[in-house]
Amino acid sequence: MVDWVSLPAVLTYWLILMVGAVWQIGLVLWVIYRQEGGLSWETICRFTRLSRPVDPKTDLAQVRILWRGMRSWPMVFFLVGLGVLTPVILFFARRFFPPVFIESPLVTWPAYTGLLELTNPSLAGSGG
Amino acid sequence: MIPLVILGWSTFVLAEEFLFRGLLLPRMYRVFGKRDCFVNAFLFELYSIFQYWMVPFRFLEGWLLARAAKRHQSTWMAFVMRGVEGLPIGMLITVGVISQPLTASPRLIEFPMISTRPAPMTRYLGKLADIPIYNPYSGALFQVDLRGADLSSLDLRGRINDLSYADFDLHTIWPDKNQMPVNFDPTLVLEIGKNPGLGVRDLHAQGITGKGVGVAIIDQTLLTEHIEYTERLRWYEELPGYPSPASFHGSAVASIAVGQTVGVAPEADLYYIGGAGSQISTFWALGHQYAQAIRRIIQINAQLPAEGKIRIISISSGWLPSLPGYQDACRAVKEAGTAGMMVITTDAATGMPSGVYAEGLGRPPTADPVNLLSYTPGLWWANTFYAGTFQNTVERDNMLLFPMDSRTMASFTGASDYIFNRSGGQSWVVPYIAGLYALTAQVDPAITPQQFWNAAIQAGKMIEIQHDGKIYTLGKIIDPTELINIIKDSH
Repeated sequence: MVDWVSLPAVLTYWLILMVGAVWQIGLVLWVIYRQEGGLSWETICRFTRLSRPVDPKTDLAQVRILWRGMRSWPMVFFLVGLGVLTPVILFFARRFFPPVFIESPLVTWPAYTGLLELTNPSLAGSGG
Repeated sequence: MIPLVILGWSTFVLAEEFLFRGLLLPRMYRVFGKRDCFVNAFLFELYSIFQYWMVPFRFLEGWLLARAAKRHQSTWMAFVMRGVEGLPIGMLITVGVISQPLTASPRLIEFPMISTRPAPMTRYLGKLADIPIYNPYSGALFQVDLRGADLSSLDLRGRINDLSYADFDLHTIWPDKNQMPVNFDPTLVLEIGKNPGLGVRDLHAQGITGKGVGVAIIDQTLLTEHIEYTERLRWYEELPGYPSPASFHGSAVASIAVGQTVGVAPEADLYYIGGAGSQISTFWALGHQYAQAIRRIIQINAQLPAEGKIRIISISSGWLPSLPGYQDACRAVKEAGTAGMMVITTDAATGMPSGVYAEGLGRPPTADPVNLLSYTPGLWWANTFYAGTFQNTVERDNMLLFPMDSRTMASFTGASDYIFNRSGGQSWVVPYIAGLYALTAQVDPAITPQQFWNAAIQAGKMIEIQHDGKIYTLGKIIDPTELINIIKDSH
C-alpha cells in the first residue's frame, strides 16, 4: 500500500499506524462506556488507573513518586535504542554470518517499517 | 514533519498505555494472578509483531512498564517511563532533517567539473620495534600493516612468513638488503601487483582500454590529483557533509577500475561522487545518499554525447532491505538501468543476474598475475573455502571470481604514491568488474548487463588447486580475453 500513495513510504506507514493507535484509544473508550455507562474524565481515570502513584511501603499516593519512573530511563532507552538499531547491527554483522542466515526473510524487512527511515535526507527541510 | 512525528509518537504511547497498562493489566491480575506482568508483556510483544525485530526488546520493555504500573497502582508511571523513548526518535528525526540532499546541478554542465579537492592523508607509523605476526586463522584485514612504517633498524631475515602477508606503501622504509629475506623484494612485489592480471594488459595492447566509455564511482572521498586517473577525472563532487581528507578506499577503487597503469580500463573516463558513508547523516541514511548520487550520475549522463556515455556505476558497498533508504536506492538503480547504465555493488542482488555471485581471488605476492594457476581463494574467505562451508552457500556454476588480493593501487597519501594491499575484500571486485564492463562496452557499445554476465560466465575457467595435500576445484575464474572474444563474436 505504501507504494500506492505519493507520500514518502515511511510517512505513509507511520500514518497508518497512527490510525491504528486512534482505533485502540476508541476501543478502550468504548469498553469504558459499555461497563461504566459514561465517559467522564473521572470515570476514564478510575477505569485506566490514571491516578497518583502509590508508594507500596507507605500506601500514600504522591505525585513525586513519578520521579522514580525516571530511574528506568537508561534501561528503556537502551532497549528501544537497541531495537531501533538492530537493522544497522545486522548490516555490519552480516560479514560474520553465512549469507543464507543474514539475508533470510527473518532478518530482512522493509526499511520504511523502521524508525531509522526517519533520517531520510529527502525529508530535509520539512522540520516545520 | 517534526510535529507530525511527535503527534504520532504521543498517540502510540497514549493508545498503548491506555490499552495494555490501563485497561488490561488490572484485569489480568484477576485471571493470571502474579503472572499478570509477564502475560501483559507477552501480549505487548505479540502486538509489536509488525516490527518483529523489536519483539524481544518490546517484551522486556513491556515487563518493566507493567511491573512499575502495578507496583505503584498508576498508569502514569508507565507514561513517565516511556517519556525517554522520544529522545532516540527525536535524535533520528533531527539527523534526517539536518542532512542536506545534493544541490541541483547546473542545467548545462561543463566538463571536467571538480567541485572540491580533498587533501592527501598523512600516514606515518614511525619506527617499529617489530613487525606484527600474521595469523592465518584470523581472517582480519591489514594484519601486517607496514604502511608508512620505518623498519630501517629491524632484522627481517627470518620473517618471510609475515612479510608475505604485509600491506605496505612507498613510504615504508625497509631495512638494508642484507637485513631482508632473500626471496622478498618489496619493489618487485609492488610492480607485479600493478598488473590487473589474467591477460587484461594484452587487451590494452590491442587498443581495448575502455576508451570512449564513462565509468562512474560512488564511494568515499577521492584524492583527485593522483596520476593514475587525474587526467581522465571528468566529474568530482561530494555528498553533503563536513569536508574530509582523501580516503584510502576512494583512490583504491578508482585506480582498480580506470588506473593508468594498475587499472582494468585505463582510458575510460571517470565520474566520481565522493563522501558516501563518511558523515553520521550519510551513515544512517546510506541508501538515500546512494540513491541521490545515482540520480546525479543519471543527470550528468544525460548531458554527455552518445559516444562518451557512462555505462556503469560502481559502488563498493551494499544494502539490505532493512537498511534505511533501501527502496529509494533500488528505485534509483532501476532508473539508471533505464538510462543505459549497469549498477554494480557488493550486494549480489544489485547489478548481477539472479543467482550469480562475484567474489575475489587470492594470489601470493610474487606469483604471476597473468597465469590462471597463480590464483587461490581470497584470503578473507579461504578458510571457509577449504573447510567446504563457503561452497554450500553458493552455486558453483554461477560463481565468478576476479583478482582481488595482492594488488598495487593508487594511495591516498600523495599524487604519485602507491600502496600494496595484500588482503582485499569485495570492494576491490566491484571496480574490477566495472573496468571489464567498460572494455566490453568499447567493443560492443550496445552491450547489455545480461549479455555481459552471460558472456562472463561462459568465459569463466575452473582450475584445480592443492592445499594441505588435498585438491580443490576453484572457479569460475574470469577470463577477460575469452570474454572479449565472445562479445566480439556476438557483436
